[in-house]
Amino acid sequence: MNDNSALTSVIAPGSTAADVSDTHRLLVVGTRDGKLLVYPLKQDGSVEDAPAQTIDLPRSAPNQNAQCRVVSVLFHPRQPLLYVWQNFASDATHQAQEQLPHLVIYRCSEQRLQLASALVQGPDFGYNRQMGMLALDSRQERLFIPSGIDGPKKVPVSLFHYSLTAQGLPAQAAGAPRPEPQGTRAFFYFVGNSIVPGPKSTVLLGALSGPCFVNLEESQVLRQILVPDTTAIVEVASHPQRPLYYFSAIGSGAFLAMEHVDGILTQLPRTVTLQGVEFKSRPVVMTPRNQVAVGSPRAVVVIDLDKEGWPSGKARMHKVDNLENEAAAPVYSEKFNRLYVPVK
Amino acid sequence: MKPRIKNPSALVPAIRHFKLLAALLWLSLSCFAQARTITLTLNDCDLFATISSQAAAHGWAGTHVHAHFSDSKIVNASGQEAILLRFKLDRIPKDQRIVRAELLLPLAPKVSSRNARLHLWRLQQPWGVGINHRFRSLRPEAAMWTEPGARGIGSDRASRPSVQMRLTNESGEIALNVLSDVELWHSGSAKEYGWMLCTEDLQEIVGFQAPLGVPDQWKLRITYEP
Repeated sequence: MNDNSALTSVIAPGSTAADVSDTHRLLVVGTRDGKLLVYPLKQDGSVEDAPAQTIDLPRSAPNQNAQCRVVSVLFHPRQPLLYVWQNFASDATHQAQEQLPHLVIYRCSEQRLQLASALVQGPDFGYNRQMGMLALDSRQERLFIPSGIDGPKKVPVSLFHYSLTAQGLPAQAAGAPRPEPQGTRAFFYFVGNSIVPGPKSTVLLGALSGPCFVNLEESQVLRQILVPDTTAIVEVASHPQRPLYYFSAIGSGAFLAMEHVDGILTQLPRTVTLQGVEFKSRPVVMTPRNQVAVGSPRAVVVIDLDKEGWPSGKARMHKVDNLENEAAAPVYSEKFNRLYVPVK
Repeated sequence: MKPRIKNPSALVPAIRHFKLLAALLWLSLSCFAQARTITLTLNDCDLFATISSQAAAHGWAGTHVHAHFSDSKIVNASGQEAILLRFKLDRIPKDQRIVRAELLLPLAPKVSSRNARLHLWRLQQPWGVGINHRFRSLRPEAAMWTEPGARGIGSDRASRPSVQMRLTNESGEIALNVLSDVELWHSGSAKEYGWMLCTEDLQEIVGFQAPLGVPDQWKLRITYEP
């Protein structure tokens, strides 16, 4: 980055996920011990000097003493809502999983969070994923949730979403006891964290050797191999204005960009391979800067884009002390033009 | 201090002999240096697609595995699937003559039908972003194939295949002689829109390894000379 001050380190020990809201001037970091750290931001986006608000996520009575971790946090772009996904820190029985409210929703008010609802997902949900991310589609009609491969019925579904009301809350079907997530087949290659909704009911998922394309309307899944390493998980991000997807191959320095038409990948990717770099996170697009940031074990790697959004071939390492060795991506605020990096 | 030569005339035959040897060496080296072989890989392609009637909206259709799932671990040339590719030939100097050109492709083990006949066709229409089974491009504007899957003979593709090969091996590499096509493009006699790999029989499948998984194994080897 041209301006190093744009990279804002935030002390948040044990961080596993983060998101920032320009509107509510809040930065929220989830931790591996099931807490939310809430940082109010100043007008310029810097973190207020006051200590962070700490929130313990709700748990059901039988799981009060179980160790849970925050998997993903996500602000709604228009409604004053924060979605949080939590899961057990280690393997748990399906019965225990059924009782844990994995989706917790908070209402944002005056730079603080108040619990709005906590939802369990029911007996048919696939729980066996410790990682993942929450994502909203461009119309904010669907909330995609981190989800597992097999439920108890051994149905090979792996991508679930809630339909949302206009207020941003999960919709409840008539006669149903609670809002139920719907599942779509995505098959076993979907092992990455990324869920990137695209145009026309398409979604791109982080997966082995390349992304999985899902068309929700047609229940169609395609896996696209992008890198030679068959064990590398490839994480995804999309450019908010251009028809481009970006990919980081975890554990390597391979960064790729690929064009799409209505969410469908087309033609060959353009690849930049950075020697001595091991990516740990999905790419984060910084549109006003025309750059992409990717987390690595000891630094944030910033890759320059050209006018069309393709990698220009220039990249820089921004060393960050005490980075968490988790796959959490840094978070970017377009309004404040800052990249927030949680550190130990 | 200069070395002194006692009898300079005795050196004359040796010098003549040396001149002759040097001339022969120069001649043979210059002949050898004139022919040059380059190997282009998938990294030298500017267009690539795998299209299929079973995933008709996709330009990376891959192989149809289940009712709802396709995978590009293997890409097929078949009666309803095709692989399209175009290499950039700008590394060949304009004033050179092509003497040999081979397309070398990695077969996927145990996929292809026994004795399947692979066809390589020269494409005759431009194609690009958004290419799929029905469209040769979707951006900057939509343009359809004359026949779905680029199967229009004499329109989407040439009037006859450049190569027909009966497959004898189930794995490893196959080599297709593409000298006439590369000559045609290099001389400017035809516009280069690349090739299409397919079969003409629904029962015949030729499977190749994932192009982006093994990009260095998709090769075009060209030898040229002045």
